[in-house]
Amino acid sequence: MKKICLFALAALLLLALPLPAYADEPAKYNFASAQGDKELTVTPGGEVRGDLYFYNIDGNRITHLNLEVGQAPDNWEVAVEPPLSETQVLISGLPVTVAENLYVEPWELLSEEPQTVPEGMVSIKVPGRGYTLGKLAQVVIMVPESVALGSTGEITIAAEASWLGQTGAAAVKQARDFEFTVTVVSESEEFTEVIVGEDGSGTVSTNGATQAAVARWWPALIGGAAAAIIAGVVVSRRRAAKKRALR
Amino acid sequence: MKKLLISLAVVGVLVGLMAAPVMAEDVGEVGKTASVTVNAYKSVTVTDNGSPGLDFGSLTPGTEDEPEAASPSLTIAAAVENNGNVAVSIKGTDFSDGGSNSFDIENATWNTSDETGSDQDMLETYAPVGTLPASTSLSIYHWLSIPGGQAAASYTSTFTYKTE
Repeated sequence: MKKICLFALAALLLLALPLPAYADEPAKYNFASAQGDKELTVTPGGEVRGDLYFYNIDGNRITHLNLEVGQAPDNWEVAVEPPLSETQVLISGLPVTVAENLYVEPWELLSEEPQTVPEGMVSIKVPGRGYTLGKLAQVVIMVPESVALGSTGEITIAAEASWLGQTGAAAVKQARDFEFTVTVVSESEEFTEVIVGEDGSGTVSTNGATQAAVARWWPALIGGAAAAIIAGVVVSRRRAAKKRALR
Repeated sequence: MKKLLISLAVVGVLVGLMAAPVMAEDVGEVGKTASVTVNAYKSVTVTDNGSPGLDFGSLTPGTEDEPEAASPSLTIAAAVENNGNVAVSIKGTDFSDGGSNSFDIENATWNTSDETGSDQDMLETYAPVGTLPASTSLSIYHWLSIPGGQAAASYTSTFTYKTE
């Protein structure tokens, strides 16, 4: 009995020792993006989309993103999809409403491209690291019918990333601009090239490559014709000589 | 017959000599434009080395250069996959209690080292901090001063780090 009591006392003493508290990992606010084509083309009256991918593999907090059109030519319609909307979030059990275009949760790195992707997410290849799941935002650009061919427009999307649960005097945010250059092109797919003369007239060449090739072959054609003439003279002289020999 | 063959051979050589440079020129001019799009990857992680959000504690009016609770306050790191340098700049908003009391953001300062002598005032417009190649990081230290006579309240601000 005495031994049991001593054992129980030792066990109680061990349980009473303060357990090592796991220090909270410092908050890591990650803002990661991948931009596709920066140079886009559009036809007058048409629409083109620019892609912006967002992911979060180095952070430990959900990244909330606001995307705004910072710069665009007059009369061009530029919008971001998904549009700004309100998201309900629970911060340590307390409800908070956040206005944002999208949010990106921390996600693991994958060694292979995932076979299935949850709805609303996309698979993103991260160079040198593998794959992860993230989200896609698209910049929708519509130009007026009257816009001149060959003109270009500079589009800037101002992105702001924020993180909830910051209790200090100053909250930390990150910002980044994304730029697109949009060139207005013709609807026709046929290539044309016009050399405009001094008087403003132009000669349209729709197959300039063929004409140039023919022009380069002129020396060979002349040489071949000369060779044929020479051969013809030689043959005719031989025949004439034969006829004289037969007489 | 022999003379005919010799003549034809001479003709063939002449045609070949004239045609060869044309053919070579043709081959040399054949080419197509190749194009590829390389995506721009940019990932930056700001590690808050203290409790979430920059914390200066409770201060009295007239306090000068109170350091933020953590040293360094923040660590800004560029990820390994970045295919370009990241330019880092910083700006802030005035400290406000959400009502009528506020004080200028210039009362907050920053530096990439822990020396207060060379720290710079926070501004409402972006000021350059530095450039981060991929897989590199830098430290940010912050200090805060409270204007004399500042009304007692709980003040907040936002520090924005532009990383592009």
